[in-house]
Amino acid sequence: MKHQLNAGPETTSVQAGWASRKLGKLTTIALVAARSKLAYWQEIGARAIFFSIVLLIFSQLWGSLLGSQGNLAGFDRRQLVWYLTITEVIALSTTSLLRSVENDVKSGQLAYLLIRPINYVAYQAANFFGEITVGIGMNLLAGGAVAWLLVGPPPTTLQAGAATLLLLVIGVSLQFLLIAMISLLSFFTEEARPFYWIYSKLVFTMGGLFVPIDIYPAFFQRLAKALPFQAVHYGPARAFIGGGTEVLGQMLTTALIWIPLLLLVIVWEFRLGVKQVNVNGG
Amino acid sequence: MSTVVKHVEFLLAQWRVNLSSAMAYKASFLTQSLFMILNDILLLFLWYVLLHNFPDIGGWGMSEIWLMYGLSAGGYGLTAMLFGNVFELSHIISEGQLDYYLALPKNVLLHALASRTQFSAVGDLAFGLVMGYLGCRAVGASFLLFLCFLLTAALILAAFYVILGSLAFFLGRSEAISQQVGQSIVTFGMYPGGIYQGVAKFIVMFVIPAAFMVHLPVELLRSFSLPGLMTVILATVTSWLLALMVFSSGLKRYESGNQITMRG
Repeated sequence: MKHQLNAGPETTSVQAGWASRKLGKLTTIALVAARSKLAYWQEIGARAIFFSIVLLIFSQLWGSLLGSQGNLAGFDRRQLVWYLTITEVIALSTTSLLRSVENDVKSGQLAYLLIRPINYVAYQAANFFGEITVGIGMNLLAGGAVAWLLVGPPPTTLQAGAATLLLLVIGVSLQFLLIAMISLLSFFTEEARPFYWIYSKLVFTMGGLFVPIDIYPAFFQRLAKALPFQAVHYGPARAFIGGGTEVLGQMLTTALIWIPLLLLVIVWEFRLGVKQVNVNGG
Repeated sequence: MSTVVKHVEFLLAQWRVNLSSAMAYKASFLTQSLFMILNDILLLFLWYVLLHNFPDIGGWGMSEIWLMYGLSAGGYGLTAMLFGNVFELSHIISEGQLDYYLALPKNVLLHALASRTQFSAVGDLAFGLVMGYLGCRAVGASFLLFLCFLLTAALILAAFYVILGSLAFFLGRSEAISQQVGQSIVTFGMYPGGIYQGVAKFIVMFVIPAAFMVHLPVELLRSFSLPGLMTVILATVTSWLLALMVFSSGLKRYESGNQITMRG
């Protein structure tokens, strides 16, 4: 009993040290990924050009549909353009996680990564969060500037900004889990890209990438709200243009249901995949 | 034998080889094509939602949207099937991989472009043809005319990508810019022409020519006019003349990658 009492804090301290070392490794990987992303200035510039084009098109589209005074389900042109700015910031900052996993499997690099003293999925997660943080920062600057030029300042408040930030973290986490789940299919099929195409279109439709879910016909609104994709884009963007506590509550509920569920699927998929993956090369 | 016949024979032989390679991976080929069709169908959702809220978009209804997708997705599919390497041209040039094509007694650009077929493009083309057929039936247009515009759309898209890819001769590594700006012609082409005003209208006509690739042909399918058809043909010819001019002046600056390349 005495031994157990003494061992408790020691065990806790060892566990804390282990966790801290793991976290330190993951932070280092994330920082390296972020720095490496910054080095690709040309890619960042090219994405900014594309982003500007998308915003220009939609600004014109909403201008043509709504005129200067009209609104759609209560959203005016300025709100709709800023909504798109936030959703596109997230979409364009998405990293090449799928390509990375596919390449690891096809090139045989996976064999080396699996024996490293860090979990492969955690390693990919650190890379993903490192890269996407830089991407979101850069795209927000570029897209924000263009949107401001096109329709004026963002229709938001400090409170809405804080909610957006929280929902952005939740959305990006869900996005990682969804893409990781698809990427790990490479362990079984080697060609997971077609599944990603469908995912990207589900995000586009059920995730409200281009227009808020609020303007969908009733059936699709209900369907979208039952799926996790809305939390990736719609949640943060809707909060930004004034979604209030209702959107915040809705997204937190989605996260509470879907994050543990997706984590379980990924753990199961990874364990099964590692047993049967056919690694090429060497 | 005339040069044109020789080129056509060479292209047919090259496409036969590409098709054989695709058939070696039948399951992958079919999966990619089918998923691409599904992917394209989901793109229509935005227009379904918007037309649920508005009577028309820039004067276009669902029939015109079908024609628009027919030309943009179908044109992309045709280009990617026949000249799949056009999307990789920038990479090929900056990596010095043009050496392989320079060493052979065939037209360098034609050989480089036709050396690759994108499997998933069959899905885009199939989707484009179905959309085109539905659109033509809905507006009472000739499907043959749609096929002509499909060809001009594919040619304009290919020329645009050749120009962007050739920037690598002058700028070095420019894959990212080439890809993103290239993608913009398809993106611009996936929205009704009527929504573009002012600077945007100028861009889609003279900088990123989606107007000649998609918007004008859709208008002509709705209401045919000979001057309109001549304008599309003229735009196609001009874009290729420009593409050939940029590529050949760039080729003079090309530096070999000194790579030993094995091709199966």
